Amino acid sequence: MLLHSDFRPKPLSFVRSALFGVALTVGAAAAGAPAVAAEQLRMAVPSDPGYLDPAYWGSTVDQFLIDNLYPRLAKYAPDGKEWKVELADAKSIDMSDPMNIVFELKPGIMWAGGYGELTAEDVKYSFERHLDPDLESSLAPEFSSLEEVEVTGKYTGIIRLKEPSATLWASTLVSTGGAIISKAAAEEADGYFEATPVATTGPYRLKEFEPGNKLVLERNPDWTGETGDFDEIVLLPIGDENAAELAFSAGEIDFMRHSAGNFDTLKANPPADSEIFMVQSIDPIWLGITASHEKLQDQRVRNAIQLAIDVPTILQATSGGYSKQATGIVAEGLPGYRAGKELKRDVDKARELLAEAGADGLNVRLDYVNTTERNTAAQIIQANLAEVGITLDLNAQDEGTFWNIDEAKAADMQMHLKAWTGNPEGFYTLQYFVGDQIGVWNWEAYQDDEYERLLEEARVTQDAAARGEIYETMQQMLEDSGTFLFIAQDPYVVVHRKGMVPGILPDGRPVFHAFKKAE
Amino acid sequence: MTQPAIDSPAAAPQTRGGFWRLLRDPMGAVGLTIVVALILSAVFAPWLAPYDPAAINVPIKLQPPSWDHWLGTDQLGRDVLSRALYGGQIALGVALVSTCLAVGIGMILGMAAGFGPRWLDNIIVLSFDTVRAYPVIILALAVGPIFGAGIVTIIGILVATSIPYYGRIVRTSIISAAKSEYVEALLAMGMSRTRIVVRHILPNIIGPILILASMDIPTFIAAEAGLSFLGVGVKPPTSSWGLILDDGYKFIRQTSWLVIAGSVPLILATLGFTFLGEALRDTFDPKLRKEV
Repeated sequence: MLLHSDFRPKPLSFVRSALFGVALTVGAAAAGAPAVAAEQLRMAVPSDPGYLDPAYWGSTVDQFLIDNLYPRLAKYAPDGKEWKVELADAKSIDMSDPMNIVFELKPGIMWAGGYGELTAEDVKYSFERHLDPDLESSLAPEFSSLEEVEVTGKYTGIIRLKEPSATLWASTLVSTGGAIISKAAAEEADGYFEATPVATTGPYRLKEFEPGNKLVLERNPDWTGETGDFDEIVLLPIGDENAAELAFSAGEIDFMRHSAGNFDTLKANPPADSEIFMVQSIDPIWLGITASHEKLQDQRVRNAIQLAIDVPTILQATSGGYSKQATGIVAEGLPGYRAGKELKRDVDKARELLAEAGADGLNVRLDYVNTTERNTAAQIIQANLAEVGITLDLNAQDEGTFWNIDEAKAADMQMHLKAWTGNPEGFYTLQYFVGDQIGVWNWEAYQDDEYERLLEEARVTQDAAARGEIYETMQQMLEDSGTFLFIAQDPYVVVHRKGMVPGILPDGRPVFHAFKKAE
Repeated sequence: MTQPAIDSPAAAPQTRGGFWRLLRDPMGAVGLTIVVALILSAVFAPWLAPYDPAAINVPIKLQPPSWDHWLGTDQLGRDVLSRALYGGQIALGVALVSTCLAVGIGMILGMAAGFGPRWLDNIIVLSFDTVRAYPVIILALAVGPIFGAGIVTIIGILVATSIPYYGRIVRTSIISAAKSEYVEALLAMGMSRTRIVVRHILPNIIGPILILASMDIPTFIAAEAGLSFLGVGVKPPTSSWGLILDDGYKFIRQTSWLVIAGSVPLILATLGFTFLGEALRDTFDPKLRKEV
């Protein structure tokens, strides 16, 4: 059985900690009341949370926490095998009418902090607020087909749509965007909050948050549903994967999910008391080539850049060959995946296109987040482009700088290498490559009326397979435009303590209450 | 009018026989050998390097040393020996250029402060103190993103933070010399201050300053490596010892050879220049020689 105490000695200060432990034991015995240590599940996460308001979430850690702390109508099952939707805090959902989604919440779900019970009013407030232009919610495009949420009872309501929208359900309501917040608590905070959630429900609630050090969740005493095995969940921001591995080996953490580059090393030399396996991510990685920049306005130049880059070599270097070249935003096995459409490298054709475009001596900049994988990929791209006469300046940035975009940065965007959080529904990502999103999330400045027509067609297409076909066409258009070079949906490596059963989604995202202790 | 013959105290030749004395000192001989070897390996890197330092060959990434790749390969399959040899060009280039600029500008400002009017001295000293108040790394992290990473930025940071060091030494030496009898005599005879500084004081202090500078070269080399490690320095595909170390740190779970390959030249350079600097000081510093 795993038992983690707050006073666990660290390797470098073992003697001091041991003395402290002895003193503590003597003190506790003298007091006649031995301390009861909380059983903790300690996870390495890439960073601190940024925004825990669902309207603004951006990072992986934001997503972990929002998915685990807020109620929702439905969710993905944490069986780690397939993307299967199941009811979460709704007792029932009726989607027989494509214009009206009827829901009934489970009664007795209490908000932490004395904000009462979860009701349909909370659902109405949570979803409709994304349509408020003053909120500037990043989820506004996802909720664009929402007309209103009609409250028909304390626990019942109807999500009314302007038009039939298969994707609102499939890509939004079951995902992070479907998080429900407490109307009373949010209004008390004037409708705006950042890294401290105003009120939560579920098996765990926030205990403490020390930025840069740790975030601790504890059991929610008001929760009457399924509970987790651990008393506390501790999230430790360890951005460096080598450091996370060392922390795991030192017994400081129990679970981590990181990139596949170290998989062979980990398998060959696993940390003690660990189990290691690989999961397939659905997070797309691509090279964005901004069509509006003066150096890249000529489509032939963009296509030449696509053709000059050796994606299989990038994958060999960054993930040890465990990644498959992506054919689009949609991952393999999901509706919309473009089987057999990997873009092949063609240096001669690239040179030809550059010569036609008269782009001799082109010098462009590549922005990316300064991680080992991105640095490695960027250097290969630099070498590949040098072969066709393009000089690439590498501009590695910290995560905050990279994702922070304003008008000036949007205007200066040239090429960027990035990954987005994926979703089993392709619409979730594809909806952002429209004219309205240029300078917001559409950094490629891609704009095509036909693409936007297909997007609306996908939104109202109820049949998942038919939607998938539309997504295939849309991804082909993105690629043909030269603004996207699809690279991969890199797998992740999950490392956890032996015997523990991790509660994870198929891409390794943790579902805190579903973690089971080792027997 | 001709100037009377008044010799400044250290005007006697010091270099004659000095080179042989330096070579007879074991520390000096070792230091000189290492330094000469490093300089030659950097200068002749294009001929000595067995591979193009930027040539990527991913299928052989992170290989240990072998006959084909004496220091192994990095995460992109690049030959580490070739990268280390070319990295020497950056390390020594940055260190020598930074040292020359810092010494040159520091001496000019130090002379101006030491022999100029009081108000000028105050301004220069205040500027020195202001710059010295910033640790090099903090200044680099603040300035790097503004001017962009690169060799010019590194040199600028190193020069800016080193000028006060040399400037203060020169200023103190000049103030001290200005009170000496021979300077007072020269002034009394109507010689201009500039001429006194250039002809009589400077030759007295240049030797010790150059010895100090030679001992600071390894500091500059380490600083370049450190700043490149932190992302403020040179950018890929340029090779530098700091970048090799940075890669080594990132891939230390897979191989330790990158860290070794990045560290050994740095250690050698530090040892070589330090030994040489100390030997030069022992050999040419008249005060020390008298004590010996």
